[in-house]
Formats: sequence, C-alpha cells, structure tokens
Amino acid sequence: MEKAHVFGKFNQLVGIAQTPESNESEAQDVAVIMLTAGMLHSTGPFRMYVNLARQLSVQGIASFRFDLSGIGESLPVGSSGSSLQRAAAEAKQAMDFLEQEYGTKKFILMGLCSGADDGFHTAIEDARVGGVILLDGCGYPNFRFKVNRVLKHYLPRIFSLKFWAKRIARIKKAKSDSPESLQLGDDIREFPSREVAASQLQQLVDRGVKLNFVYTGGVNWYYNYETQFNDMFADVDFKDNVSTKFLPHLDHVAFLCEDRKQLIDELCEWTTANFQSTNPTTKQESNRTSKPTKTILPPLDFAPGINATSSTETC
Amino acid sequence: MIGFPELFAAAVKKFSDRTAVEFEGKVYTYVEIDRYANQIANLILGTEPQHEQRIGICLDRSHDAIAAMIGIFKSGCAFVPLDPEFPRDRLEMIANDAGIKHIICDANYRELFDHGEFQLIDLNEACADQSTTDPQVSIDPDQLAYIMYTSGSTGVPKGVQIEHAALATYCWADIERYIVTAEDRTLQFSTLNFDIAIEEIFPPLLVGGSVIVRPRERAKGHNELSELVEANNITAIHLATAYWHEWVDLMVASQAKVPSSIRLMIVTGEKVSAEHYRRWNEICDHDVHWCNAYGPTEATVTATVFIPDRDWSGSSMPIGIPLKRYTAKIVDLDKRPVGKDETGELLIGGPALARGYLNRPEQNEKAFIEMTDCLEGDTDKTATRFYRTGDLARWLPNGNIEFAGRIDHQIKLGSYRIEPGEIEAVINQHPQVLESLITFDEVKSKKYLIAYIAQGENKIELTEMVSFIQDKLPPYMVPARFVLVESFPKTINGKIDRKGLPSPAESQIARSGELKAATTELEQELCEIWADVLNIPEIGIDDDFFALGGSSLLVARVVGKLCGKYDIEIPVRDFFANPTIASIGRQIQMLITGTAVPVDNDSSWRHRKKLPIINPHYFQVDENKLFGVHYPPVDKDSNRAVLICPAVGHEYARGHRNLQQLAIMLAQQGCHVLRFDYSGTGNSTGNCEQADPQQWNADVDGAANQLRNLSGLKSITVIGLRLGATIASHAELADIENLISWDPVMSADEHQKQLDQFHDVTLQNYSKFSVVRQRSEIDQAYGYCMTETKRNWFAEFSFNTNSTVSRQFVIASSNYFGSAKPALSRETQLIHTPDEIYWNDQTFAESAFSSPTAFQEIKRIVLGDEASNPIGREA
Repeated sequence: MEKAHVFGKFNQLVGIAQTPESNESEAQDVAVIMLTAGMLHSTGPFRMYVNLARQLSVQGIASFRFDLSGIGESLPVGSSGSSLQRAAAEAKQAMDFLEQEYGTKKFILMGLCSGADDGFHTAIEDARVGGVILLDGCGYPNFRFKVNRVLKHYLPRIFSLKFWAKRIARIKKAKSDSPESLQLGDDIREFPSREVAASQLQQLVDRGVKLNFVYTGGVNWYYNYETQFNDMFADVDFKDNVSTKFLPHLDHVAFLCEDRKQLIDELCEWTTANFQSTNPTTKQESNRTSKPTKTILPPLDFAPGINATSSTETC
Repeated sequence: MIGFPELFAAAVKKFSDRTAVEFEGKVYTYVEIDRYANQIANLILGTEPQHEQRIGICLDRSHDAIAAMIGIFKSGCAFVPLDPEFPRDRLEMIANDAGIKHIICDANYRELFDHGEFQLIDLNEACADQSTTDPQVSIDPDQLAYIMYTSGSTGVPKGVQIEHAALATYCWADIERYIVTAEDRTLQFSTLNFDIAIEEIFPPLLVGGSVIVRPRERAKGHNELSELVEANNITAIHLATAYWHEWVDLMVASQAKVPSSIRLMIVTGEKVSAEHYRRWNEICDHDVHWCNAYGPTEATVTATVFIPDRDWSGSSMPIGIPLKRYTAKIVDLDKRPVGKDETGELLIGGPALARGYLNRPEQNEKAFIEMTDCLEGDTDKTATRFYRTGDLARWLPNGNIEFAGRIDHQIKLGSYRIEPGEIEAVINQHPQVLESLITFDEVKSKKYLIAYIAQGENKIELTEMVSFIQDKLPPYMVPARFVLVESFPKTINGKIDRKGLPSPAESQIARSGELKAATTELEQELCEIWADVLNIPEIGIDDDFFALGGSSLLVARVVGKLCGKYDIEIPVRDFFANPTIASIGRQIQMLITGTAVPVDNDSSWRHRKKLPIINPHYFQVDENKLFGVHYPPVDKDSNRAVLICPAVGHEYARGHRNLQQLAIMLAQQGCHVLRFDYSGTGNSTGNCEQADPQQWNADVDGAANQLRNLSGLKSITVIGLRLGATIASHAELADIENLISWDPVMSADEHQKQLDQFHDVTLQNYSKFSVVRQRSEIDQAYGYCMTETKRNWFAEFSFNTNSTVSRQFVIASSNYFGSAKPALSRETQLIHTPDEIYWNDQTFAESAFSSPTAFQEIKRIVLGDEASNPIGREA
C-alpha cells in the first residue's frame, strides 16, 4: 500500500510510504528510507526507487521515498548548512515522522551517489539507523586502482578511433553557442577524507550497523576492481557487518532494464537477509518463502518514469 | 500603364469645373490647375532640360506646389521635394546628389540656396507670360516621376526614384482600397517631402476629388486639426501614426467627437496603438473607413492596408494585406519564405516598386533583390523583384500581416531576442501612456532595457507601471529603467526622433515596496549576479530564482559565477534547496567563514507562505491508483482549475521541475492545480508496458474528475506537455475551458525513432559505461521497456488536431518545430515563445530549460486575459 505524506518543519517535504500488502496493521518496525540522488526526483532514475519499493513491499519490507527540500515534489524552504548537514537534518525529520506515524524504530538508509553520502553521514549522527545501502558511495583511488585506470581505461581509448572521433565532436559541440546543460554528473560529491571515512565506518560497524556498498562501472574514475573496498579500508575491522559488490558492466544510474533488475534483486536480497525478521508481522510471510530472491514478483515496469538522460558519471 | 500627365488629362476632361484644389479660401478647378501646370511645364521646357532632368521644389504646401509637381511631370522632368525646414547643408547635399540645376522656390526661401549654383524659379514672376497650353510631351511609363529623399541608416539621405508606372500603379490601388471618389475632400496635411503627401494629392485628382491644402496660418483653437476638418468639410485624412495618437488623445481629453464629415481615416508610418483605436471608436459616432496603412517609400507609398472591424479588439494591430498589384513575402535569413506562424523579413514586390536609390548601386543591390518562387496568397505571382523592408513580420492565419518591429531594432538580451514593439504594445495599453519606445543601454558589456514613456500631463507611478508590465510579459522583457517625458521629439515624418530623446543616464529604476532589498554586501553582489543571469533589473532577497524564470541551465551559470567569485565549491543541489538570495547568502557565508549561519525562521515562513499548500495523494482510476499533487489557491481564489498532464519517459524528468513551478505559479494566481502521473509512470501504479492510449485517456478523464472534486469547479483547463499533451488531445472531456498543448509530440512514431537513436548513442557512450554495451534481448528505448504492442500503437499515435475543445492553444518553444510544421486546426491558436528547450538534443539533462514566456502565456490563457498578449500570437 502506498500513501503520500507531507512532513517537515515547514510542511515542505513530500514522501511516499509503502507498507507491505501482507501487513494488516500499518505498524512497521523497520523501514528503508530512500534518499534522493543528486537532483533526481524520489522516483529514482528510471523509476528504480518505485520498483525497489514495490519489490521490498512484496517481501514484507516497508519503505519511504522522499525528496529533499528543493528537489522533486518538496519545496525549497528553511534549508541551511552544508548539503550533508541539510540532508541529514531532513532524513532525521523523515525518521521522526515515520516513528510517529508508523511506529518504526529502525531504519535502513538507501542512497545512490550523493544520496549514499547523505546516508552514511546521517547514520553517524542518528542511532536509529540500523543499515545503510550505498550505491556508488565514497571511494579512494589507490595504487592498484591507478594501474588499472591506465591499463584498462586510458590505453584502450588512446588507440580507439571512435573514442577520438567522439572527443573531437564533443569539443566542437562545446564551442558552439548552444547553452550548456546542467549535467548532473557535474555536481560536487562530498567525500570525507579516507581517514575520516575509515573512522566513521569503524564506528558504524562497532555500533552494529549493517552496510552494503555497491559500486558500478559508472564510477570507474574512483573505483575499478572487485576488492578495492577491502584495500581502501584495510585498517577497518568489518566484523561481518559490511557487504560489498562491484558491478563493472553497469552504469551509474542503471540505464538498462536488465541492470536495474539485477540491482534491485541484489538490494532486496541483502535487505531481506539482514532485516526481514525484524518485522514480526512479516515473519510468517517470510517463513513461507525460503529464498526471498526467488519469490514470484510482480512485473517490473521499467517504463516511462524518471531518467537521468545524459547524466554520465554521477547523478 | 501610362504616365500621370495622361491620367490627369483624362480627369481634367471629365471633371473640368469641379474643385481640384482649395487653399486658404481660394478654389482652383481642374482646368485651372491644369492650365497653371501647363505654364510651369512650358517654363521648364524653356530651360531645355535633359531627359529626366530633376527639378527641385522648395515650396510650402499650396496650390502652387501641387501645380508645380504636375507641371514638372508634364515637362518630362522629375521633381525633388526640398524641405525648407532642412538645414542648408542637407539641402545642398540633396540638390547635388540629385543633379538639380533648377529649383522652384518661394521668395522667402531663396537665401537657402544662395551659395549654390542653382537657378531659382519664382512662379509668381516666371509663369505669367507662359502658355497655358499643354506642351504634349510624351511620357514613358518607366520615366522618372520624382525622387523622394529618406533618411539613411548612415545618416546620409538616400534618393528613392519613383517612375510614372509605379506612381500610376499606386494611385489606382489607393483609389480602389480607400474607395476614393469625386465626392471626397482630402486634407493635404503632410509636408511635401514625406510620401504621405503623394497619396494625399495624386489619387484624389484622378477621380474628381478635391485636395484641401492646410493653410499656412495655424488655427487658434487647441484642437487645430478638428477645427480644420470641420471648417473645410474634410472627408479624408492621412495622418502619421504619432499625430493620429495625439489627435485622439486630444479629442478624448476635451471630450470632443470625431468630426462627422470624416469618411476615410488613414493612419500610417508607425505601429498603431490598439488602445488608441479603441479610444477612437469610443468617440466616433458614425461609420468611418478606418485604415492602418503600411509601406516604405521604396514601394511608392502604401503597400499593405488593414481595415479592422469596428469591434476589433486585438492587442496588436496588423498591417493587413497587399494593395492591388502589390506582392508581399516574408522570408527567413536564407530568403526562404517562412510559414504562416513564423517571423521573418517582409519583402514587397510589384510594379509600384521604386527604380532604386539614386547613385547608390551597392545599396540597391542589397535592398532590391530578385526572387522567383511564389507563395500561396501572392497577389502577383509574376513579381520577381522585391524590396527588402528591413521590417520583421509574420502572416496571420486570416491572411493579414502583422508587423513585428525593425530588424535593426531587435535587442538581444542573453539568449532572448526581444522585439521592442512587443513591449511597447503592452506599455501603450496603460491608460496614462501616450506612447512609448523601448531601447537599450549597455554598461560594462551588460545590456539593460530602457523604456521611454511619453506621459503628457499624467504622472505615472513607476512601480505601478512595472507591475502592469509584469502582469503581461515575462520577467526578462520588463524594462530595467524608465525615462518619463511629456512628449517625444518627432522627425519631420512624424516618427520618434531617437536622437532627440534624453540620455539613458537620465533614466530611473522602479522600486517596488514589496521588494526586500539586500542588507549586506554579499547579498548585493548576489543580487547583481542573479540580475545579470536572469536579465531582470531588480531582485529582492526573498525572490525565488525559479519563479523569476530561472532554470537548471541558469543555475549552472550562477553557480559557476559564485564559485569563481568567492573561491568556494557549491553543490548545485544546495542552490536548488536555497532558491532565494537570503537563503543562498547564508549558505555562501557559511562556506566562506566555515561558521553556520542560523536559519531565519521568520524569513523561511515568509517564503513558505508565498508557496501553496501541497497535497500529494493517490486516487483511483480503473484498476490503478494515480499519484497526484493538488495545489490549492494561495490567498486569493480565481475560481479556475487547471489539470497538468506531464511528459512521459525521459522527458518526465526534463519537464518535472518546470511543471512544478508552473503549478506553483498558477496556485499563486488563485487557481486549483492538479499535477498527476499517468498509469505506470512516476509514482502511479500500473504497468507501463501494457499502457495504451485508451488507458491514458481514461487517466486524463479520471484526473479531471478528481480535480473537479477537489476544487468544486466544473470547468477546467487542461495543460499537456509533450506526449502528455498528445494523450490529452485525444481525451473526450466535457467542460474543458482551454486545452493547452505545450510542445506536443506530433507523431509518436517519430518520437519513438528518436528515443531508439538516443538509446543506441547512450550504449556507445564511453563515459557512461566502462564497457560498450549492446542491445539486449529486452526491447527497450532510452531507459524504458518497450513491447511489440506498445511499439505498434506508438507507430499509429499522433497529436489529435480535431479535438472538440473550443479553445485550443499550442505553445511552441523556439526550437520545437524544426523544419516540419504541423497542420493545426483553424480553431487552434499557435503561440511561439523564445524559450529554448532542445527536446531533440540528448545532451540536455534534468529540467535544463526555462520557460518564462510559456508561463506567461499560460497564465494569460488560464486567467482569460489572452487578448492582451502580443507575444508570438496568431489569432
């Protein structure tokens, strides 16, 4: 069941709560909160968040997708502080609202791109956060990354005529007098330093927060091999609370239907595996389904909806 | 075609004893004028003139002047009017350029030519002993009749050479269009070196009419023209627009009526104010053949005429259709004819065209061109030679031409091309404005619009004027500065003398009481940056960037400037969250100092209260739950309801922010607005793969009913964007007040092909994918799934031009049509806007466009004030 809400200090924020169909009462112990990616509407790129919410709902997990102020349906009022501070403040308002409205006690923050940064930052500040899903979250190039970058990225392109043809075409286009579009990828990411990130990561792990880091080929400018996460944070004791996944064939916003399906399946599987039993009312449902990812799901309509169009590296 | 003397001889024969000319109480019959002209012709022939010898005329308006013109024709020479009001240097320059040796001159103007080698002819002295017999000189049709000097853009006058055939062509066309008869008494009011004098004098003299010459002594009353008309029983008047405006205002102010003798009123020279036409009708108690005439001297006199109905109520007076044997074309920069909905340069063709400029071969080559193709509606398909008027114009659906300003007066502000006439038309609607002129000033490479306003004895309040303009024009068209004067200086032709206007330095800024001014240096600098990017003169610190016409494109520019100026990094999303100077100022202050500036709750609430309450909800339509956001009216209620149907696919994202801003703006205007998502799109339930036109039509119907329930209003306006508009055009809805289709997808099939192309290009994008991806087994196009069924209905689906909604509008952004133009129903009003959106360019991302003009148009349509709009409107 989907229900739209207005909340926030100035009644300026809009979100949609999706409660599992099987749940007779609206009470939810745990819910996934989807944070807006860059400036994209809360339906997510290509409606990915809508489809994720509906698939989670089938598996007994509630969710709440909302727009930060000034984005999507939410109005730009009363904002202050850095992007991270503002997002954290508004994510807290969302948690307060869900706690009050649905009795939710624990939250999984899910974010793509800047949404991942926001989720990580909010988790540090709010103890109600029990899980974080970070799609293309922070990353730090290391030596192996740099070697890969040269061998697998630059060298093949140097000898590609098509690459140079496109480069020249792009330069020519840039010189034309047509106005320059706001490319979502041009926006600024706010990564903490590696040391700060490592410290915060350890803090969250120690607190028992479950973290799922998923990286795509769309951020190959800072992440480009399967075990890079382990190398980046070799000094952190993950204590089985951290999962990582590298999907090099995917782009940053999962442009293709099959990629989005894979991504949504991954996220649902991780969420149900780590949090499904938290909702007492959905245990029964869960018990009937021994392997959540093989549940018969409604068709995913990867259909007209949100699309980041030409966004390239970030959203 | 034959020369004027032969035509006049026929008139003399037919109307010999009728009055040809009246001057200062004396009456001259056709025979008397003819004899006087014969004397002058014989006098000139006595000087043994060369073929097409130019003879100067420096006379006041009088029967002498008229006889002199005809006499010069009869001698086979050509006359050149020399205005005694001109400076000596200019007169000498003209006389030398024209190769004048003889000047027919009043005694009191002799000293003007003292230093030249001219033979001055005093008619009173020289004619007495000349024969009154017609010298019977043979005149060829292509023989030069006269040369009229006009102002050149370089400041050097150009002599326009008019041949006898052109003059005769014009005269007969004039007689036909104005229905000139022997009963007409036409006032000769204009100075002789203005081509209005040609139409005042010659056509009436071919049909037995009388020319009543304005006396030298001015009338004593305050309304000289009315007194003159009433005293002389004038039936026909030709006036320069500026004089006519003044005359109307004078009559209105003195509560006088239009003199009852007037049968024909011709206004010409500049754009006529629609407001003055309405004022004229209010004070006119009888039928008058009222004509708005347009024509350059290079087409002899008038080329097109518009004759409005008495109840005509448009905002922009057209210039009508070509006269008989005249041809008009409107062409683009490549000289290709434009369609009926596009603006281009107006070309005039036909046998009344001038021979060219005297001694100006280069200018002739530029101004007079050969064209072979003919358009539907061309009155003369044989015309191949055309004069480039330098005027912008467009064809209206009813076949009339609308004047759209001078090409060289067009002002480019940022990415907008502004036609000053559009702003002037709006300002002129203000009841305290006599006339206005828009120009610009440039300071440190930044252009500002300046409005010069003639206010007479009125006292115009500038803040009220700005508010008046803001209600009718988008923000970038609101002048930054104003110069108020009692009246405009005029050239001899009655046009505004631009050089005589006060300097822009004397202009004033309109300060609104509601505008909260910057209080810190940072806020002031931010205001300047915004003003620069948005092309809006004044910004208050509580103004919303997006409400002022800002777009994602412009955000990028502002952020770029801010980062450069303050050496900081601002995420673009910070800007979206802080769209006012007050809030982004706090944000920047924090970035500069590293210290958070507390939120000013009062300021935030002030900003929030300007925005509508938002009511997001789901409503049931068939098996689906549609997501919608209802925006009730803010403060006032205009009893209007608007349904917004969004684009779908990737264009949903591109259009989302704009439609949200549109909804907010309409709610602020007192409307109930419902924005919804079609089944299987956005937040609505349903499977998009299985969606079909019937389902989406049902969605529009269901959403319309939902809006009626929410608003309590029966009649609604439907606005659709792109495919959303195409779907809405098929919906069979009752009680639709307006159907507004904004850049509708005309052919879903072509749209689909473009999406497929975008899809393939994206897969090959090196910066998007680490590895090149191929099309998979899943049929998809640019981010969303396709099915065979869906492709089939896309192949057949197109914009419905036969909608039964009575008031239909299509809003077209500047680059929307491309080369293909849709065939729209006659009932549909097509509105062009300069807004740039680039639907066909995939490099443009989320909401990368602004559409202030479209917003303004929509507001006007929804609030029922569209008649006042001059922008790109085809009535």
